[in-house]
Amino acid sequence: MTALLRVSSAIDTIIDRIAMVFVWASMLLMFAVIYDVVTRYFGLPRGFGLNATTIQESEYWFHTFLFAFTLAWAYRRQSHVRIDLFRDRVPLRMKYMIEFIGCLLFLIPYSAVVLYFTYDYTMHSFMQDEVSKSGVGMTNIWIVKAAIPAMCLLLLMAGISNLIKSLAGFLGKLPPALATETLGGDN
Amino acid sequence: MELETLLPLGMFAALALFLFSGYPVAFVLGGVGLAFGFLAILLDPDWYNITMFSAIPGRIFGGIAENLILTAIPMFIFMGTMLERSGVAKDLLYCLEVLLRRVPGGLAISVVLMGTIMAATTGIIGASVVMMTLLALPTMMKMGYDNRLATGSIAASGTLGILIPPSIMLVIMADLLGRSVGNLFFAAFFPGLLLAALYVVYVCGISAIFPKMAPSSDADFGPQNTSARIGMVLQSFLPPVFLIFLVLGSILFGWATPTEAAGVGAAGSVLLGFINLVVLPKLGINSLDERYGAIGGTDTVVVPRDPFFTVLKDVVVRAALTNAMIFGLFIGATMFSFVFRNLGGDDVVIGMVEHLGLGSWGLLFLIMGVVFVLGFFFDWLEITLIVLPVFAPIIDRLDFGAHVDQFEMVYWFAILLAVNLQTSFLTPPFGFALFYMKAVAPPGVKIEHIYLGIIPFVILQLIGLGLVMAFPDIALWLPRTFLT
Repeated sequence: MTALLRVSSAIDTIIDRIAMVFVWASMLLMFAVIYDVVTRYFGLPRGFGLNATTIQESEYWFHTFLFAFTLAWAYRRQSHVRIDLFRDRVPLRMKYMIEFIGCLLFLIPYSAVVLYFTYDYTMHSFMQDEVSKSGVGMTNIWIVKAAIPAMCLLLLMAGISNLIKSLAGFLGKLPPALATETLGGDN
Repeated sequence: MELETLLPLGMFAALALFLFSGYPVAFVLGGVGLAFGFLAILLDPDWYNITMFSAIPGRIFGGIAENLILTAIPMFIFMGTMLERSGVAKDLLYCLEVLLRRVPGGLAISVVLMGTIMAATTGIIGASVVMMTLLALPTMMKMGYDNRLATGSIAASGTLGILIPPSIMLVIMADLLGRSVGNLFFAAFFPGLLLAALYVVYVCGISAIFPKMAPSSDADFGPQNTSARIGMVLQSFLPPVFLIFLVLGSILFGWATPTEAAGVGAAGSVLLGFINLVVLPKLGINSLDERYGAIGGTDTVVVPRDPFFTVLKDVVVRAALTNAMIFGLFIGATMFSFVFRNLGGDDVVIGMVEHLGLGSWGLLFLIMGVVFVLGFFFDWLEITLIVLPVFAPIIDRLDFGAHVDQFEMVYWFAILLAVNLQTSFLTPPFGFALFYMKAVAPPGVKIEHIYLGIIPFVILQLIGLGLVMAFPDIALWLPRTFLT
C-alpha cells in the first residue's frame, strides 16, 4: 500500500505542476482580448504579422489550455461540485468506498474512452496538417486539439491516484492529512 | 414500454440516483452517459455500436473548446475574483454602511445595494456571499440584528450576480439556446433591479414594523466631516462604476462583443486592483477600514491589504479552480446529453409532453415548476446543462399569442428561467448560497436561522417571477429599445 500511495503522490505532483503553469493562460486570454479590441477600435497596426482572425482564434486556444490542464487538478483540489446531501450522513469508511467505486465506474472508464477517441481525432488533424476553418487564422490546429486528450490523460491519472487513496482510506491506511483532498467536504 | 423509451428514462433515473452518492457531478454525468451508451450497444447491437462515441471529440472540441462565446466565462470569473480580493468590494460595503447607518435596517439595505452593484460588475455567487457574510454578518450580529433577517438579506443579495448582467449563467444560456448574449444581458437588467427593489422594500418594511429586528447604529464611525465623506464615496464608488461602464458600455456602444467585454472587464479589474493595492497606498490613501476603524464602530479586526502580486497569483489560481469546475460539468454533460439524444431521448420527452396535452402556458408552468423543484437539490449549472438541452425543442414551439411576440419569446423564457434558477441558490435544503454562508458565518448562526431567514426572500423571488411573467416588457423593453 505504501508503494501505491507513493505512485499516487507522484501522479498528484505531476498534475499540480502542470496546472500551476496553465492557470496563467487566463492572463494570456485577457491580453489577447485587450490587444484585439484596442487595435481594432483605434485602427492600430497589429504587428508581428498577426491579423484579427489569428488573435481571436488564439483566445479560444488559451481558453482551451486553461480548462484542459486544470480539470484534473480541480478534482484534486476538490473544486468539482458534489451533492453531499446524503453522503454527509454516512460513516467515513463508506465515503471512501463511494469514492473508490466512483473512480472505478465513472471517472476512469469515462476518461479512458474519451482519451481513445480524442487521440484519434487529434492524430487525424496532425496528419492532415489541419488549419483553422477561416483559412486565415491559426495553423497547426492539432496543438489545441491535443489539449483534449491531454486533459483526458490527466483525468485518468487523477482517477487512478484517487482510486489508490480511497482504497487506502477504506483499509484505514491513508494518512489523515490526505482525507480532505481525497473526499472533499469537511472530513 | 419499449427499449427506446426505457433507456432515456433510465438514464435520468440513474443520474438522479448516482448524483446523490456525493461523487463529483461532472464525472457522474460523463460516467452515466458512457454506461448507457454501452448498455444500448449491448442490448441492440444492430442499431448501436462503439463508433457512435467517435462524435464525442467533435462535440467537446467544437462545442466547448473552439467556442468563442464560452471564453467569456473564465474572464468574468477572473474579474469577480479580482474585485473581491483587491479590496474594492470591501470599501464599497464600508461606504454604504456609513451612508445608511441611521436608516431603519440600514445595514441590511446596504448589503442589498452592495449585492446589486457587485452583480452589475460580474458577481460570482460564492465569492459575493462569502465576502458579504465575512464583512457584514459579524457587524450585524453585534449591532443586535435578527439573525434571520441578517442571513436572509445577505444570501439573497449575494445571488443577484447570477441574474444581473454581465452574468456567466446568461452567457451559457445564450450559448445553449443559440441566441444573442447581448440581448439576454439587457433583458435581464430590469428583472434584476426589480428583485433588488423588492428586497429593499421588504427590509425597510420589516425594519419599520419591528425595529428590534434591525436596530440602527448610534456609533459615529467612518469619516467625520463632509469633505472626508465625499472622498470616501468617491474612493468606493468610482472603481465599480468604472467597471460597470467598461463592461456594459463597451457592449452598448459596440466597442466589443459581449464576450470580449468580459476580457476588457477582467483587465479593468486588474487595473483597479493595481490602483487599490499599489498606487493608493503609495499616495497615503489606505482602505476605508484602515483609516476609519471597523464597520459599525465595533471591534471587528481590520486586516491590512496583501501585496499586489500575492493577490494576483491567488486570483489566477482561484479563478482557474472555479473555471475548471464549470467546464468539468460542461464536458460531463456533453457525454450525457449526446447519449441521451442518440437513444431518442428528445422524442421521448416531446412525446411525454404532448401526451400531457398542455397548452403553451401549461408547459411554461410545468417547466418552471420542474426547475423550481430541481432547484431544491441542484445548482443552476447542472439544471441548465441537463434540462435546457432537453427542453430546447419544446421551448421553440411555445406560442403565447399577443402576450409575447414570437421572436422575443425565447429571451423572455430565458429570463424567467434565470430568475427561477437564481432562486435555486436560496431554496433549502440544498441552496448553495446558504452553504457558502454557513461555512463562514460566526458560530452563533445556526443553519435553522438561515433556512428560516431565506423564506421571505424566496417568496419575493416568486413575486418577481410572477411579475416578469405577467408583464414581459419588464425584460423585453430594454433590448427592444436599445438593441436590434
